[in-house]
Amino acid sequence: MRPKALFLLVLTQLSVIAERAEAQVPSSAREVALGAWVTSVSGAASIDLNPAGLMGVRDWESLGSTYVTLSRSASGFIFQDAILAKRFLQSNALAFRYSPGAMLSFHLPDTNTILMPDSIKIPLDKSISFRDAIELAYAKQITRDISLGIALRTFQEEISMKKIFYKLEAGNQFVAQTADSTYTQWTWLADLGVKWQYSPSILFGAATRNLLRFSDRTLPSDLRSLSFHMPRMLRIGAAYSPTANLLLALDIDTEKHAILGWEYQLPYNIALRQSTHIDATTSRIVPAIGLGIGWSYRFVELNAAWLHFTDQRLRNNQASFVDFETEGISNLVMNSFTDDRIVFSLKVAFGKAHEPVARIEDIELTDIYPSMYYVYAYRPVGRARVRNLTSEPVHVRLSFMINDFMNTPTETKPEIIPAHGLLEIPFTALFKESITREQETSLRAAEIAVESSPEVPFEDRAQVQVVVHGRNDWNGDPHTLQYFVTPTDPAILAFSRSALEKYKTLIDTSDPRLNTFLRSQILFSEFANRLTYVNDPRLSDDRVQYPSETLSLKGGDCDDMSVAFASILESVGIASAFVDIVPPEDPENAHVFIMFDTGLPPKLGSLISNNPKRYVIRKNSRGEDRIWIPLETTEVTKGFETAWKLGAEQYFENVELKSGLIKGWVHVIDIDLD
Amino acid sequence: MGRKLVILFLSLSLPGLLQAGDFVVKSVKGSAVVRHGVSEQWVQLRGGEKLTDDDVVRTGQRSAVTLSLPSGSTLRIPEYAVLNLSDVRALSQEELLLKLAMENIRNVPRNRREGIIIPNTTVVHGSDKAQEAAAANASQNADGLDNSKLAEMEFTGAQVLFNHDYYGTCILRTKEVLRLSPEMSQRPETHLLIAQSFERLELISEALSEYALLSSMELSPSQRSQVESKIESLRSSLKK
Repeated sequence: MRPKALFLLVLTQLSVIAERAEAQVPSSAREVALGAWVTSVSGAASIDLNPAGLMGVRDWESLGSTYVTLSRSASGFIFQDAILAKRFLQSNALAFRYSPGAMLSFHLPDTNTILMPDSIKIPLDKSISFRDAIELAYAKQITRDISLGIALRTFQEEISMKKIFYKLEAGNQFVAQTADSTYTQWTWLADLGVKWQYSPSILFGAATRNLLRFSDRTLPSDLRSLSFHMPRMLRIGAAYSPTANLLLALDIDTEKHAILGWEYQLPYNIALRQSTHIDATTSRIVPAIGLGIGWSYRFVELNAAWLHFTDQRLRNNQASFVDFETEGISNLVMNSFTDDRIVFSLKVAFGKAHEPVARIEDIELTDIYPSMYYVYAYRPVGRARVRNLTSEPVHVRLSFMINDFMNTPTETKPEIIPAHGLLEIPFTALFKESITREQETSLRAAEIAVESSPEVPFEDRAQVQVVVHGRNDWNGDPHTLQYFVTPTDPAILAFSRSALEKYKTLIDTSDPRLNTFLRSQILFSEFANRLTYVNDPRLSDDRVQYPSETLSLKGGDCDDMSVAFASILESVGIASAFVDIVPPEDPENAHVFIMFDTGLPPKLGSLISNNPKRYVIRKNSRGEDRIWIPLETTEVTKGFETAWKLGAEQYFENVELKSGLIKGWVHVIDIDLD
Repeated sequence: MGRKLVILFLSLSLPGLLQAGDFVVKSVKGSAVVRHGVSEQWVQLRGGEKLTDDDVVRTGQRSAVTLSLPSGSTLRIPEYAVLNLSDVRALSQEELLLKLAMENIRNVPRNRREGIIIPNTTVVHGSDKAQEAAAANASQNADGLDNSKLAEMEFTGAQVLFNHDYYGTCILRTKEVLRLSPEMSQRPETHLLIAQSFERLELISEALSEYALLSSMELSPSQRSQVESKIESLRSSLKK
């Protein structure tokens, strides 16, 4: 006996599919309003947007959000999610999200209805829900400017429907019956994110969506058309702050969406935000806009946002099954079915975290020359530009440290930076004497920190590379040549004392007015006796021998000779100076020689020379005119007279005739080692 | 005829044989000496001799030297004068003012720690002078000339510069003489020379300063009248 169908399918009209559609939006209302969040999201809210932003968490941070839809069937506020984030070991962060209210559900009325013998109609509707309930994320600060993040989340798809089956009953009849069937499919997804602080005012970022997917694929094949579309997507963004109060952001993704957003900081810690969504794939170019406002106080931040969709045709439960199949769902935020909504979020930071008040934006460092190591104690070795991050003036000080060459960091005096201001602060360094033993040039790590409060070790710090030159390296500046002069070097003292001792009788019996002049002649003669070679003066490079090295090597070039003889003169109290000549027509042939103070007043010039062109009259520290004698030290082997004659000729020609001193290519640098 | 041709050839080619900066002694009357560069010795000066800008010429009593300058003009050095040939050049106004500024700041104490490095150099090339008239110490140089006499001779040399329109170097040389021989500062003609040189260079403010200094000195009635008249006319020209 054939079974009889005891039912009748009655076709009914298509009807609205969405009974209740709650969509997931970014956890924080700030990001809802700003729209372009890839670069601007920071803190706990980053977990499901760009996990690299988790490095914005200071210590502990919690975020909770709720929303209400603006549809006719709105059912009041819905708790969306709660996020907890923690920063640990300074450059790592972890976050967990639980989103009980983050779901999107649809009710699909079927075209068929079963008409039972007892005239009961049973619709064959389907219910579809998507849930994005749990997420775990980790972030790592790779460098000072770059952070990376990874997020893992679960995605549940559930389809419930009534199915018809036939049951053989007594009398050999098949009776149609219905049963509820529910199919659940789980997908695990992983995504990556990166943020790069290109400059203090420019930020870049990128985040993937659905990069890695692992699904248990338990949905029957006939229902897979209703499944959530999960295309792999890449979203990149840039943010720019032209002023301290304004942020402009732009995101674009591989689904041909773009979002423009801005945020403006008003007084009293109030922020305004707005976003414009652009979709190149639809006829309506601007499918949505966002508006928002936020307020923060110390460790609490409260935000509100309104998200409005410009195309309302399929919203408010007006869509049909055909619309659902045609449009599909691939994005829980932007799709054709979700309703306008208002989102509220509350963020609380707690723990030992301290909100930094200042940030180092830029650092300039000079090369370090060991020969002038003690000069850096009062002459800046670098400058840092420090930004005040608050709306109140702050007191800051900088500290500078190179571990290998300093015992403790050298600190600046306190400086005041106005609200949101930028200040350039020079800093010095107190080096250990051991730095003068560095033979070769090397690259070292230096740390600069900005401090403001005694409770906090630092507000910000940066590590930079600094070049530390070898002990004989010279930067070519004639003004720094004097730092190679070492009148207290034991070898120099021994030399000068021994030389003068040999002629003690002559010195003691000569005209006392000529004492300095005579001693200079004796020392020059003895210096000449010690040397065996003089390098081509034109071959002087950027390395200078210390005087003791010149004596032991028995030779050198013009810089070495000038430094050595100046040290010898200074060791017996005779003031000296370098004369640096850089001929403008031939700067490669720059040359240095010395001159020394005879102690003679001009009226006694005839005691040493009848020709005033052989000497220079300069004032000493007491303002008294004194006679100085130029000496060409590379002619040391030809004797004092020749060296004097050549020095005087060079000085007269370059200073008097060619006016090199006033034109700036001749410098006279007094040796002042105090 | 041949000799004439040779003479003609030499006279035409002689300027070409001269290097830039060469001075030629056209004539020497009486006794004159020259000191070359940084040499210690004065040597007799002869006609036809070539000199350079690092030479110094000195004339004696009833003597004179005429030089042919690189520019082609001639310059006459009278008796009892010392002239540095390096002064026989025109200074630009900028160069003059810079050199004068260097004179003014040479008293600033060096302070390297503040990053200010001011050359503590004063270029002085000239005769030394004892501060007091009868001072015993080295009032004479090795040539037997009194230092005050040398200062006079240098001032005469400065006047030569003025007469040949070298106003800038005239100012500098005169100031050098005054600095090393302060007693010369009591002579109005020294400041008058400086003031007139500034005037010729149209440096009116500087000229006014010098005339103002003059007006504070003891002047003869005619000198005072001249100075006051100058001050008035310069002030008028400044107002314009």
